[in-house]
Amino acid sequence: MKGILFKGRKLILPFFALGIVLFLILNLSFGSVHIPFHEVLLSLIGKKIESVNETIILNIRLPRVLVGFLAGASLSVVGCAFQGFLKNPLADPYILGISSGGAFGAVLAIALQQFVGWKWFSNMETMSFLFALLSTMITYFIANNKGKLPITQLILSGVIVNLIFSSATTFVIVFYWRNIANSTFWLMGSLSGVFWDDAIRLMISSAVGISILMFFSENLNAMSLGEEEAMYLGVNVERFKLLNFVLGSFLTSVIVSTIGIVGFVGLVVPHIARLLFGANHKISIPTSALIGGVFLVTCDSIARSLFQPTEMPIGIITSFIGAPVFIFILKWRLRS
Amino acid sequence: MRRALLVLFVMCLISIFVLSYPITLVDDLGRAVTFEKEPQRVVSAAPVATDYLLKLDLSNKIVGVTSFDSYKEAENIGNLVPINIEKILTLKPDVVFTFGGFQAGEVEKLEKAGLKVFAINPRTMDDIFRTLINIGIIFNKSEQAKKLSRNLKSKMLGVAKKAYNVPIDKRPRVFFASIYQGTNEIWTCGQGSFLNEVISLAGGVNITGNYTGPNGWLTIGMEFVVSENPDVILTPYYYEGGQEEAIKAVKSIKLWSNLKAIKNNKIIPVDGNIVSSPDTRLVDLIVKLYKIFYSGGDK
Repeated sequence: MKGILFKGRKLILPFFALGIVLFLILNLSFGSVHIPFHEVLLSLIGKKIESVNETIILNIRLPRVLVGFLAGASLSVVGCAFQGFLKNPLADPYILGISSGGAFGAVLAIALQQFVGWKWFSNMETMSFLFALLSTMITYFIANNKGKLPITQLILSGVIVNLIFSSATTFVIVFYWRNIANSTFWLMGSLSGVFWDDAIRLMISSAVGISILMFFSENLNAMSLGEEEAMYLGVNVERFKLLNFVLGSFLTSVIVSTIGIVGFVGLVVPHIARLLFGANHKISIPTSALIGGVFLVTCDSIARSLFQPTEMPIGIITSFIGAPVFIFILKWRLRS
Repeated sequence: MRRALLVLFVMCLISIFVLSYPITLVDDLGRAVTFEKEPQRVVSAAPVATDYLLKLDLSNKIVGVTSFDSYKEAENIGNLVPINIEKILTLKPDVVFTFGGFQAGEVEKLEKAGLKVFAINPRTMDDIFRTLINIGIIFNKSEQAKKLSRNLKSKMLGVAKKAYNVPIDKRPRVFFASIYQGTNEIWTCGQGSFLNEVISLAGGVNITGNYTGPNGWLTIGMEFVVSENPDVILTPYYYEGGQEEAIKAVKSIKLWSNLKAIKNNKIIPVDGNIVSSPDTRLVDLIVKLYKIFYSGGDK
């Protein structure tokens, strides 16, 4: 399947990338406080501007835009890889139970804050990361059959683990009924309040995760033909599935524990990338990353400036913007 | 009581001998906060804090309030959680006031952005007077704060002492019902909540005073209320003119139609913004409730 914008020609990737850097800088001037574009540029090249604006651009918006881009990129890449190796167009990064595991961890941390003094167990980020990993481990052990991972079993156990943890989340919320304002915002995702330490953590995990998945994109191509075919093509199918599983869980749980659960991106962006640039994973993985990153940054700019000074949870925006865009591209593709 | 007096005494000492900037105070999250000079620009990131500032005539220093605040003369900074740090930064406040444990995560974020934060979390009447004095000290108004807190305290004790003398079996049994329509969940104030203290000081017996929940608040079943058969039901309303509707909501619960409070028409609407906010306005509420409990009272 060739895409609309990529028909065998060498891709215009470098131009694409340059455009994206400009776009990210442009996004720095949006927010509840409007900062003129030239001030953004001046502060980025180290010129002195008004100190408050400088703090806002360099210490608040720059890490925020970076985190948005990296999170969007990683979620989309994981979604793309999952859709490829699970051969399921409805797969997304949350299909293995990560989101509800992470949500449970976060809500549990809120509940424990009144009892446990030890910082680790009352820290939302740490707890959600631990439980996100735990939930995928449970999924893995349910699906695991003598070292093999049958795909149907994997998806089904993901569904079950999702169910278990979302009921556990509801239980904790009802039982402790505490500080719900924190947890709702977290459950719908928000980039508010991310700082440089989050950005750096995400930079490392995304760089590692995305480059490994890109390195194995040939294997993903083979896998999407079918497991048996992949085996004939020399892919160690079970080990490759495990690699995808571990990498995907790790990347997603880092993101979930930083910005909460942002839906839609990991499901729809890979489809958009494939529609536009073709189904070859060598192309669709990097383009998914770029589209996903740009998409999430755009949504976050809207979330933080449209209703200012109040912020919207970003999950609402991703669905409101993403669904029509997806429908449009789908229709357009069918026509051409 | 003795401890509170001791605290007051120590504070008086502080204010007499060392009241000059820099001042270091411990806030209600246990953080030591140092003020190098008298703050000139203040963001009140929770409606509770605004009342204290207004009572100390500091309205000219408030530069930002949340959209939940009834004080509208300052810039709107949006939600309590998540807090809008960009907006607050541009207001260039010398100090940001936050409230309670639920904004504790926001305090961390504000500090990372280089802002000075003072968290308040009054949970009893004594806490309220202490918070008033603390804020007075921060703004170099400790004399005014002390005087105000003394007046409020004597007003409160004037009523409370009268109520102390009422024989226990003559005190009205009171139930506070915050009814969530739709789910029919009923929240009430138990031991450890400031409203429980308010009811007791006004001479009432809170029927849920032996029970407690997060911060003293708990949900309660309708049957429990039937078995306790309260003499008075307090119920909150949240907008002017909402009193009738609040009463109607209590009356609509069929299980309760035989309660003494309902038969004798003793359903008292109380301002929801006051009963949910531990600030100095509770003193007036105590006076008002005492009148309702013991002289029929005007609503």
